[in-house]
Amino acid sequence: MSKLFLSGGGDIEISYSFDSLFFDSLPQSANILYIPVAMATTMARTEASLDWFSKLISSHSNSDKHLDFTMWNAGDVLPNLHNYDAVYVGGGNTYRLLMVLEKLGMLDVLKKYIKNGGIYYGGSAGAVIVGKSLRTVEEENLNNYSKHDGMNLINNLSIFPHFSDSEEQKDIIRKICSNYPLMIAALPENSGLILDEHGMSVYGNMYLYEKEKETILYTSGQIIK
Amino acid sequence: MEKIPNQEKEISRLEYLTANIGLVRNPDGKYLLTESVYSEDIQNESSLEHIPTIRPDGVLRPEGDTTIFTSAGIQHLETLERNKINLENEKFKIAQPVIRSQFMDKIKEGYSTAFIDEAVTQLGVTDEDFFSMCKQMVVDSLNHDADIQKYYLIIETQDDRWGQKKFTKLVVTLYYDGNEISEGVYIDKFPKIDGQIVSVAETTHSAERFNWIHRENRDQSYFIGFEEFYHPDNKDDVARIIDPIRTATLMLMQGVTPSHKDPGFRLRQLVKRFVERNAEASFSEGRLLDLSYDFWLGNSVEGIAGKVEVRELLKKEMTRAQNVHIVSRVERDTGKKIKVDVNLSTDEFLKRIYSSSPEEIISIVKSINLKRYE
Repeated sequence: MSKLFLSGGGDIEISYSFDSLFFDSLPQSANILYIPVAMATTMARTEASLDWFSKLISSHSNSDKHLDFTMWNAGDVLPNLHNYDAVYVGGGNTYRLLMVLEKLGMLDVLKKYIKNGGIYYGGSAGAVIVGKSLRTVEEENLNNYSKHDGMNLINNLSIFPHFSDSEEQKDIIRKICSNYPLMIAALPENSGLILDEHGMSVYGNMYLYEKEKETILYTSGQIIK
Repeated sequence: MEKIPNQEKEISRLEYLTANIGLVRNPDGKYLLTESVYSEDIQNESSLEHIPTIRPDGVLRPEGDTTIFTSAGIQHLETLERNKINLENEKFKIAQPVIRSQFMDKIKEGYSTAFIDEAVTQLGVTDEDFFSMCKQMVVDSLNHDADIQKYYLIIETQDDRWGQKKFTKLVVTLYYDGNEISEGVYIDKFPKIDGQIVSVAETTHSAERFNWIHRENRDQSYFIGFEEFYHPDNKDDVARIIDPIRTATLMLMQGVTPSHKDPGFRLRQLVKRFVERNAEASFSEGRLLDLSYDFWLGNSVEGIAGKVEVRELLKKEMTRAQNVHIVSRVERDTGKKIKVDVNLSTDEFLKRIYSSSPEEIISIVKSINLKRYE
């Protein structure tokens, strides 16, 4: 059974406790494939992305946990995901991420990997693409891509990351719900969803929005039915 | 480049600048060299000779810089600003040892995670000045092979970000025989820390790659000085072994020590790759270290740690990497964890496993081909 960790986003310190659940689930000596495609474009930014992930890994390593990673970027050969203990897809521009993954054939590789029992971590954009629709982050569609469908691997939910419970964000979500028939899981930073053999559970808070229905607040440990 | 709102005007400005240095745009977007312009300039003295050469920065950057390790000569601008120097009309040439960890798992002959970045940087210059620098960049290559048919350039704009600094840059990339060889970068509005802007122009190439691409002897290896390890049919494999120990040596020389936190974590990753990739070939790590150390020392790298100290640290870390490999292999094959300190010597590590583990684990460990690095 696959295991998905979908984070609402946030920096290394903010999402530390949710990230710990992911790193704790890995083997003692684990090799992670890191995909920064949503973010990296230039040489400097690519190296900075690697530095960032290295810092994240460092904060979860200890004398008994030997973590390592390989970075995969646009232009690289498609990897054999059997060589990795987990895949980590980082944040950035969600539309860019989806388009690059699809264009290079990596989206199908990831879908297959998850369906075959792989461990997947999606941070912000990396979480949104696992959901049903990208309409939740449509302001990121800077190049007017016509495709808005995510992988739809989480029971028809769509993810709204970096949710701050502000009136402005609530209005945006209500508007999306009125325009499209979506169930939206709004995730604050340092909150997330975990999908495994026990079902889909919440870490932190999750607000479920659906057209003409009351918003439901789920808290840590609750299973989403 | 100066922004002109009308896109057509911007294109014509680029056309003017490229035509001025003898470039002609092909329908496929590539810029080709004009024979009449470039045949005159070959072998002429460089127009950038007067620019002073400065001492390179350390490989390890202070906290707060864009990257953990210096990844380009142009990062010297961060050093200048840290030293409260107002960026205005600085000009410098630099042969900067750099580390680009992003290539750690993509190495093949012709590429490396550490190299000498030879760069010419000028501040407070115009786009015309920049294109003159690019012309010189082309001439530098033509002086190695004057066949202009082998060259083309790609010109594109890119958005970039250094920490909090965001800017747009014009990038001119020179290709020879289809291989990327040199690059020119022009940032018309580089944000200074005082909130003002300054223009920055740079031309740059990796010394190793430049020399390798322009090699006269096609058998010449990318890593000069390491020829004894190469065979004609295994160049990529050899490069994958040499590269991590060569870069690890550079880090160790500059005082980086292995750790699970950066910068030591990056060093740990490299040593792990060396141990894994060298398992079959069994090249002498001592010899590779000597060659690497001498190479960096000969390229202005300060040996904060001496060769003996570097050797000791490296061997200890290789031992650790091999122990981690054992832990990983056992966990993969049996699903069981080994709770023995991976920092022990190989013999002590094995002794403790043999005295505390079931036969299933012991037989797996005994099947692994182990080296004694101590």
